[in-house]
Amino acid sequence: MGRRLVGRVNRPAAFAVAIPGCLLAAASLVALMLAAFGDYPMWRHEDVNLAEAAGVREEAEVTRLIERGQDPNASYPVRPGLLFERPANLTPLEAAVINDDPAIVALLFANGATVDGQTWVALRCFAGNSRVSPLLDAHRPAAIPLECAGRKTAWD
Amino acid sequence: MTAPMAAPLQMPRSLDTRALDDFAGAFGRPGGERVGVVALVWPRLTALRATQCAATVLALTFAYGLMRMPVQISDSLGQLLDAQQSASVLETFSSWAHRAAYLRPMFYVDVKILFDLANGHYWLAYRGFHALLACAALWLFVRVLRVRTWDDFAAAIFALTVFTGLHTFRGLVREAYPVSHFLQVAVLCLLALNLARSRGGWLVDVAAAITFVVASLTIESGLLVWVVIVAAWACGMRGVSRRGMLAVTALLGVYLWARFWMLAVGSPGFDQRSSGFLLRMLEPDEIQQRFGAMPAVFYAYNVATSFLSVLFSEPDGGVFEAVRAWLAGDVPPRVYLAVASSSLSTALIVWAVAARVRGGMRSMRDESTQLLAVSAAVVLANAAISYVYTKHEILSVAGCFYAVAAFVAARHALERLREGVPAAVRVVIVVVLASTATLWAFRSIGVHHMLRVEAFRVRNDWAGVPAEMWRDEGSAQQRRQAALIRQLRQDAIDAPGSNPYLVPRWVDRWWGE
Repeated sequence: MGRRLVGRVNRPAAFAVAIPGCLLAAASLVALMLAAFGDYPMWRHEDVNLAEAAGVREEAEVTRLIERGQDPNASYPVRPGLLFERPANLTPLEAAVINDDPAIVALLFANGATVDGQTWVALRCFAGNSRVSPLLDAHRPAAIPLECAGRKTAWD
Repeated sequence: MTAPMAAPLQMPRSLDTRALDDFAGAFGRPGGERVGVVALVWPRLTALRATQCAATVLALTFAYGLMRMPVQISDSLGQLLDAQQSASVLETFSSWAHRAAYLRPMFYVDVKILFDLANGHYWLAYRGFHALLACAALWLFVRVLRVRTWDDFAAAIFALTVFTGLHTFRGLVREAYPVSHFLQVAVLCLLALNLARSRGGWLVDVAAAITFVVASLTIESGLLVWVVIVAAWACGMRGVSRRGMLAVTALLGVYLWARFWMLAVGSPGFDQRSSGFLLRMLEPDEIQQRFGAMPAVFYAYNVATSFLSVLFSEPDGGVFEAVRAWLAGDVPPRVYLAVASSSLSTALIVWAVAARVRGGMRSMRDESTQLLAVSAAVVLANAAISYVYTKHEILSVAGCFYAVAAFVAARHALERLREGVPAAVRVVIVVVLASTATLWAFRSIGVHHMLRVEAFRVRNDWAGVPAEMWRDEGSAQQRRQAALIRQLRQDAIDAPGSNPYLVPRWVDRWWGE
């Protein structure tokens, strides 16, 4: 009787202590198996294009893609959920300005990104007084007036 | 009424009957004559092997995360360039033997040895060594627990989640300069405890002395090896003999003499680093301004908050983060998670300590009491050496020994339940144990998220390195340095990253920092 009671008492207690850790170990084992196929859940790598990388603060990926030959002045499709709920077609510079990321804006300018007058005005008006504004001002095309009143961009 | 029992199964000859008895007592049916499903699938499975398997799997997941991290730039690139410039390990040792305020020659020797061994594969050498250290830490941790029964297994699994979930473990895997010296010292302290619990012999004494020398010359936290050995000896662990303990104490004397008299290195003042105080970080000049006339107050604050942070995960680096977040009107769930899990496990430890105190000196013969006493000594000593400033990494050894104490506490709770306590108390204990174990396991997962964020940050740091630093121009030495930087940068940028901005926001609120 005594032995039976001991068994009944300690079983749930030992389970209570061990099960969370055992589940963690089991989940870790599954994760390691998935890692063999390049799909570790905590380290999932999503391929992004240059505009998407610029829009999600991936400075290193922007650098890598430019060094691999992607054009910093071209437009790329940006999937929904990254910057907007809908799909969009953006240049890396537009994506970085929308995300207000001065490091990536500077990186793009340093790697050959350029803006024509019309795009510059659209970006500058969108940026307002944000952190990227001084960088845009430093790359202002000559003789371009800045008039933002009533201006709407495609991303507003 | 009990359900009719199945016919007894034939027990294989190779079966570990003691383990089976325990298995039946804790997880299976009472009595050793019946075999559980697990024992049928893996007849040689013992509680120890099961614990080692779990620890290995957890260690491998952390190793995987560490191998996904590039070599960091901050506090690391300078060391690598120094290692490149140094002609030999001996030159590195002698040139770093005495710099102002720090005596850490082994710190730089480690970097130099790995640099020479790397033969150009720097990421593999440094991150591989980091991953090996993480595996060694978990393996030595499990070894020190001496798991024999399935109750021990349950307590050990719980302790593993405490070990890996505690904020101090994050410090061990996050930073490497480019070697994680704090993790190295934690491994050496766990090795010292394993030696103290061994059968002994002159080889063990020699190993203890070498462990102390390497640890103490790596970083100041290495002096905790002495605390481990002396506390263990004082508690009755005789793996390291009296002679060995005295030899290590003599080496400590030599260290102090060399540091303060022969080399006059001294100790760092509080003008060296920023440190947390109440609700914010103070810069060195602010600390000087506030506490220049009464440094003892600041030191006492650091010791007290370091001690509290191990027990309750608050304050964090000297800053009361929970209070600060509450005043700001947004307390992230990770703060509740950290404080609740730590407070519950500390309560269990206090319960176990109280039972031992009631037992008086007689209980010192019990190995659980010995482990608790050594853990208490190390946590207190680690808090004491954090007097100048406090941060996660410095308290990492205390974190390891806190997890050892958590093992003893969980086992104590399970033993207490065997003694036939009232039903209501029984239910409370089981609920508390289940909640605490669940919180710690959940907290432990957060380390992987932290590693992912850190890898993302380090990779981006490399993208921001100015081209002048890695352009192939200048003198021969400058070109060698540029080649090294170029290679490290390329390794980092080519590593496939995982962008934390692409994960749901709740992930960071539960597991972020």
